[in-house]
Amino acid sequence: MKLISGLLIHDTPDGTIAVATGKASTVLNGMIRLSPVAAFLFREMTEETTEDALVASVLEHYDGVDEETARRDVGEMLEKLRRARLLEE
Amino acid sequence: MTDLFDSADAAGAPVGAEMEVPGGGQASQNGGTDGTLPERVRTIEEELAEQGVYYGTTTGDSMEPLLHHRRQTIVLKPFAPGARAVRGDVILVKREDGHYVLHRVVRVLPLPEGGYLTRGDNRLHRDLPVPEEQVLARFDGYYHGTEFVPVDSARYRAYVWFWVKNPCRFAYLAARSAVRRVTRGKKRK
Repeated sequence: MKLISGLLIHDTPDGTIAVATGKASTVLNGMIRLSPVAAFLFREMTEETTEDALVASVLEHYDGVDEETARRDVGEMLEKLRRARLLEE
Repeated sequence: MTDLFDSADAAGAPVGAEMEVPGGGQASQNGGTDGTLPERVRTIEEELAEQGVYYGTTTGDSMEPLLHHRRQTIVLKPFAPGARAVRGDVILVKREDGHYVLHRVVRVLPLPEGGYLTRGDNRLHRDLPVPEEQVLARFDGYYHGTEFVPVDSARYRAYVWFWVKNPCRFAYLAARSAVRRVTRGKKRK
């Protein structure tokens, strides 16, 4: 799975955002403001990946996070992306 | 670790000459999506008021060759209180029918009535006059890939010089329009 094509991630003075262009703009009109962790995961999902790989990346990059929390949060985010049709699987 | 989406918001709608704004500009009311991704959904106007900036994309071809259909990320910022656009500014307008349009100011109409005459860079004819109250924001720049191109950059100024201010542009657009009319006429036959 990966993010839908056309979802561009920008680091701006106002934080990291994802803007829907191309194919992504046909399902999302506008932009998403990302938390630092969401931005990290969005970048991980610009290439083909798996839920397990995302959880592993979070555990590797963030201290003090247990696997249960990482798996729950990653799962919730992926479900939101699926419902918004922003995930290609 | 807090919620991954504790600050994920979606706002607005694509802008352009032929922009579609389903649901009055709400990001969650788009096409077939149930819009459940964002924690909070704001309109372009709300995003501009609360964040002081809006990032989005454009639809249509009216601002080519600068902006292409659903391709670039554009940056819009509100005008300072009391400030007016000047000739050459690209402004975001929300028409009475709810459509958002991003076109260039070609004439500033005098106060007290005010308003503007605008035109797309890829258009031969001017738009209907724009009242002051329909102006939402000014174009601040766009992203070319990951590179931000602001309106005060050499790159943007070169575009304006070579295309927008080029008198041959109108001859080209007129000729193109004539060719298209002839082509459409032949197709109908």
